[in-house]
Amino acid sequence: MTYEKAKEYFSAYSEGTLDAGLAQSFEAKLKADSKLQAEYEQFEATLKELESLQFEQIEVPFDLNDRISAAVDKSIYDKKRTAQPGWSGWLRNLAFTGLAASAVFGAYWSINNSQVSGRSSVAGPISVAPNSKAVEQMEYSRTDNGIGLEFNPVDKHAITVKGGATGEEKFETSNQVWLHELTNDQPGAASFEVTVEGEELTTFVVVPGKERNEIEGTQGSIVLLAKEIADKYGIPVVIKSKQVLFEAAWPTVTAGSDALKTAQDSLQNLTGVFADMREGILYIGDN
Amino acid sequence: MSESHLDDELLIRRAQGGDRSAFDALIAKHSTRAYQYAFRLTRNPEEASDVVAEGFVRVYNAIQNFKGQSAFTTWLYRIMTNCFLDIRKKEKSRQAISIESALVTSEGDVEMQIEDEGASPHEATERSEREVRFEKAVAKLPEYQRSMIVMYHGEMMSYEEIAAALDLPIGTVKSRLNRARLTLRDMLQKDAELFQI
Repeated sequence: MTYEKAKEYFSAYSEGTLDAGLAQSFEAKLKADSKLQAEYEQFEATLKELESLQFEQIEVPFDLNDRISAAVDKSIYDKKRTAQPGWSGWLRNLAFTGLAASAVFGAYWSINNSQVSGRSSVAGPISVAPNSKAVEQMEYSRTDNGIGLEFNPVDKHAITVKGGATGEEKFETSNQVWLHELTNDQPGAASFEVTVEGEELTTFVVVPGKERNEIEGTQGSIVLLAKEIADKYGIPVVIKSKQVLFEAAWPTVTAGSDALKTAQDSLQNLTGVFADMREGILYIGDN
Repeated sequence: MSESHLDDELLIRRAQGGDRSAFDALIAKHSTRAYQYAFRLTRNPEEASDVVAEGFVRVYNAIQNFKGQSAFTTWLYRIMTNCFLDIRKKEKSRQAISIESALVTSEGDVEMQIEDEGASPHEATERSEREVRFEKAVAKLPEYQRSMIVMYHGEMMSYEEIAAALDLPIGTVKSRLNRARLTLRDMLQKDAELFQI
């Protein structure tokens, strides 16, 4: 055993975990090498000194937890500030609110639940400082993995997200900003149903899959159309329409046409439904 | 009512579901230990607080990715260690830029104040010089070696826990820890008269 090799075994020998054979060689080397022996004694003294580390009294700042919470809040705020500017004004102009409820949503879900794939995940930051915006309207923004949801309630609300691989999830909001992300790791598009307690209309959110596919169908519900468009162009689609489950016929997609044009062409037979594109998200709503 | 008595698993699940109070409970439950670890690494209360705050921000942002394959504390140690290393890296690069700037100026001599990471004179009188020198030696260890020393000897973590926290094989942890101890021994040897080793 060399001098350098023996030094590699200092810890193991001291802890008694060295193999019997190696321990014998080590001890023999130690006896034969006074320099090594001196170094090992110093090493053991160092280990004794190190034991004192565990008994060290460390005073924790009284405001530590406040500082941590403030840092977390700031991080959430910074994220929100750098997020794409809201399209809530545009959404409000669509008059999405105040529409009559449609009893067919539940039926739609039960029929299509088995077809959806994807994942609903809460996007890290959930609730931050008490909400001062007082805009009780869900907002959407595109994220790297799907689509982000932001809700600024003034009061408690129950939010239900159905769809994807996670099935159904229920959330309770207070008067704080609620953030959520819908993602989809599957090849094909996934649809999610987002219901906010107190709102009369449910929103359908379609997140594109990992693969791009040509539009194959020629007719179906708006949600089905949205899934085809999402997979063709790789963009998320938000639908809030009384006619979400009504049949629409869509034309053959020609080269060069984009998601908005495809949606507008396809929806022309449905009175009162229109499409618009904003910040990389296709919106389909009622006039 | 405080929720810090609840299991980590439950708190994490609730935090993942959007419950901020559950996350706050995780902070309340683990901040002291995280701070003590950070302080042992930095020997500076302000920097330790920064490391812990930044660490919990990272935990918050990544809580969705936590699958419970290791203990929450193991994950927390990993994040705190990375925060410490990142903050140190930033400081070093900032210091390098600052020194470079000073060198190119033509305004005469520049006095550089290099922070002494050791104890203040007041602290030194309160504790034995031997302890202070020992802490200084630990503080002078390279960051990676220091984190291992602190984990093993300060936090009383096992080799397995350190391996999980640093994402290293156990054999590597053992050999690096041995090297760290040898480095520390060499440093202390320089003060042999005082330490009488």
